[in-house]
Amino acid sequence: MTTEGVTLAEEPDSKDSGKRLPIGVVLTPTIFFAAFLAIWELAVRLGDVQVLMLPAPSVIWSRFIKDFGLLVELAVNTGTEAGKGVLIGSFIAIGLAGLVHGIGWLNQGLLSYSSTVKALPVVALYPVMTIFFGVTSKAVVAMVAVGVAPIMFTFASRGFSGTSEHDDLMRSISANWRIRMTALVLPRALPYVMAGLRTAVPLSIIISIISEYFGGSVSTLGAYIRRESTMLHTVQVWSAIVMACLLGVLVFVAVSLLDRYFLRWHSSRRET
Amino acid sequence: MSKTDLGSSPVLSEESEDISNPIGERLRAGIRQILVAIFLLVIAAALWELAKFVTGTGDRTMPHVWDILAFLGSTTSQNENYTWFLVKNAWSTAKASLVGLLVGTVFGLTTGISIARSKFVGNGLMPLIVAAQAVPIVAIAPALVLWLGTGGVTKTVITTYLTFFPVTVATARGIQSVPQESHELLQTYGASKRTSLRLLEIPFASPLIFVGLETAAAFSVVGAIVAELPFGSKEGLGVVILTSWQFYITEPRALYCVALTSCVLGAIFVLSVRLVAYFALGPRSQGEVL
Amino acid sequence: MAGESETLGLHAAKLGKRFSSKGGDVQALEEVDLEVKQGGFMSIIGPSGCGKSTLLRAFSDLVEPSTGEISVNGKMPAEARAAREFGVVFQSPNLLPWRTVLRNVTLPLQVMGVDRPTRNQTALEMLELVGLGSFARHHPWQLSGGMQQRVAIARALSTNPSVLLMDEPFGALDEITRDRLNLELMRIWGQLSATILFITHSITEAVFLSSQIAVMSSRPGRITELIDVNLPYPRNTETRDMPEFYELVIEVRRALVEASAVAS
Ligand SMILES: Nc1ncnc2c1ncn2[C@@H]1O[C@H](COP(=O)(O)OP(=O)(O)OP(=O)(O)O)[C@@H](O)[C@H]1O
Ligand SMILES: [Mg+2]
Repeated sequence: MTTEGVTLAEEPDSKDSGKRLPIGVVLTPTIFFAAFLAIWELAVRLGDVQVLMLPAPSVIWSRFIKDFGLLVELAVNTGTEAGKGVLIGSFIAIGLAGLVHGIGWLNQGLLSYSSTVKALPVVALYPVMTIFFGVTSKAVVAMVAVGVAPIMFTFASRGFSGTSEHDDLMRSISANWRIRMTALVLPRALPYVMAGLRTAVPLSIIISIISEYFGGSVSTLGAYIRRESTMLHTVQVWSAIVMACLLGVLVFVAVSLLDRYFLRWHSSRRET
Repeated sequence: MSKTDLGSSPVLSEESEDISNPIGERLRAGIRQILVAIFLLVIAAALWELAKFVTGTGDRTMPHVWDILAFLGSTTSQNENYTWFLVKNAWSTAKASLVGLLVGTVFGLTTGISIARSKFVGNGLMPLIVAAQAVPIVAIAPALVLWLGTGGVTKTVITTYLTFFPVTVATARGIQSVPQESHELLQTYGASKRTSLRLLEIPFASPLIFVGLETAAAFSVVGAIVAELPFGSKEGLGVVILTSWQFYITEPRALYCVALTSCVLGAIFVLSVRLVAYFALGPRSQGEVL
Repeated sequence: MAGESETLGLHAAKLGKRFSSKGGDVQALEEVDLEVKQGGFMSIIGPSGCGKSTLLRAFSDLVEPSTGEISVNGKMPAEARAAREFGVVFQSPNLLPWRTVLRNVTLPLQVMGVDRPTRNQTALEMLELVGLGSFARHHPWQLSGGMQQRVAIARALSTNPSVLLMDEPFGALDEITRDRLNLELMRIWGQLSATILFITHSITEAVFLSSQIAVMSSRPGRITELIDVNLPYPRNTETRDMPEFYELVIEVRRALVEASAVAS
């Protein structure tokens, strides 16, 4: 199973298909995670660390359970903002990539930019977004869209740049533009788009939480973390962080499943 | 890595003729790319002005491009040139980013190597790494400031945290994709683990490691800025961003200037890594310099 | 270890290898007896999957035999490897793309800890031997497949081994290049007088090169026939026109067909 949250996938290599999950893949991380929690708990207990500084996992967990309903609501709102941002950003990026892929120098130039700003300094740009949209949910969505677009452009443009004997085939059967698009160009770009989403979607959660932290709709994870931390409610902050992690992992798994479904025809899925 | 083993070898003074010289070609391509990049910047500025004109947006929201640029020449309340003021703060941020990038790279490389070496460690750590990447660092920054103060240590911890992951994942993946037959080749010569790490695994993985490093470089700038945000920090782009944001009603141009500066600093970091990759890897660095 | 009696270059006695995996066990080698005199040239030919590579990998200490005895120059493979008694040429050139041709050839010497001037000197001599002296500073991608495989041979020769283990080294090459490299291998072999174990799928190649050919059958992999090739050395283009050459080709083909029949 691929595990990456950074722009690394050069090719949309869709990893070893995990049909049969060996025990190690489930058991080992559980052991590591348990060990990690145990050390944390012990360190806090034995070191007599104040709750204000760092609460023990057990304390965080009981808070998490108590506030679960609220946290889910916050996560849903954050997820919705991130989702909207990803949709808008991807739509613009893929559209742009499709438009310019015939124009070599322009495509190349835009690629240079998008690969150089691999990680936009969100904290620096979010204030600018609020100039346009006010300190609202819209600003968060816009920030996610802006942050996600360069990544999606990079991948989509790679997807569109492919040529193969299939192009000759399309030509030989005099396929019109629409058929060429739906039967060849878009499916060929799909693995790349999916690879881009695997990077972009987890990132979108982080971007929206950072943005919300600086203002936005009140009932979101970022805003909640901000509010509780100014009141020095450290335990509440950490339970929200746990929810943020869960949300991140959840969307990562969701994209992987989507990817698996959409790309069932891809050669990387071939049984061996 | 000594990539220039042959440079000193006297045996090989005669140059082979029939080898195409890619350096000149790539230089020309690089210059053309720079020109295109500048051209695109001009287009972006023109689009900005067009959008402003068509939508009739006021100067408060969308100042003219030339007004923003002109603001760089103004003086601050401390009677300082504004550009100089930005550069000074950017330098402070850059120093913190660099330290974090270096520390994070060292940790990332060692973790990546152990993940690639041991299936147990790999299986155990990879899912945790995915989860840990989802931790919103802004949420932890205030807590860290509580422990460690607003000084350099906090900045280093945050930037290290952010740069660690991309380097780790890239190193692990790079080493894991070394072909079996190359391993066998070194095995037949009885190479030790350390030798094959030095001669095979690291060189093989380095193009991918550099891709990870580029991401890490961008993240390190973001991390340093985030570390400067909590109350009490005195200098750095993060501080300038917060103050400019407070006063943007009276002076929107300052906010645009510092936002652009942050982007430029990030780009400088990414491009520096790419440049290092270009010299370290030669033709194997697939990426263009720009 | 080596008594007064002549030490064999390669020796296997009742060699067996069983791979066990989830899909079921595979008896890759069974009761394989093989003797190659020092300085001899033995080819192994057999259907795909019959265990040729496994046999070669057992000699090169990449695979642990399940049963039986095996030795290289009278030593156990692990000892022989430590003493740099053999060099291996893989089916693919297996060059490291970031190293120049010269530095690919120096790799084994670098692992041994030879100092730089010496290893460059040696590597250059080896490259001259395979006719690539002027390509020392090129990178692998600038070479054709045949040239790359010659670099791989130079690399295997760089430690001055007395045994060469070659696993279908020319399998991926076209007929013409292959013929040329065969001639070259003969020349090199003549100069170095090494023991060579050579795996191939090509009957003509086997006949042209070897002093002896072992024909293998598959599942379980065993040697079904040993054919002596009594063509005169040095062999050259005329060798291929000799009537004896054709007779041998026919004989090997017959043996191969019989070996396949045994399998099914
Ligand atoms: N590491 C391994 N694990 C399990 N089975 C193996 C392994 N290596 C080889 N085998 C099995 O052993 C048998 C012999 O393989 P080997 O590679 O020696 O064949 P070969 O004669 O070299 O074939 P080819 O001519 O195609 O190269 C095959 O059935 C193969 O599936
Ligand atoms: Mg084989």
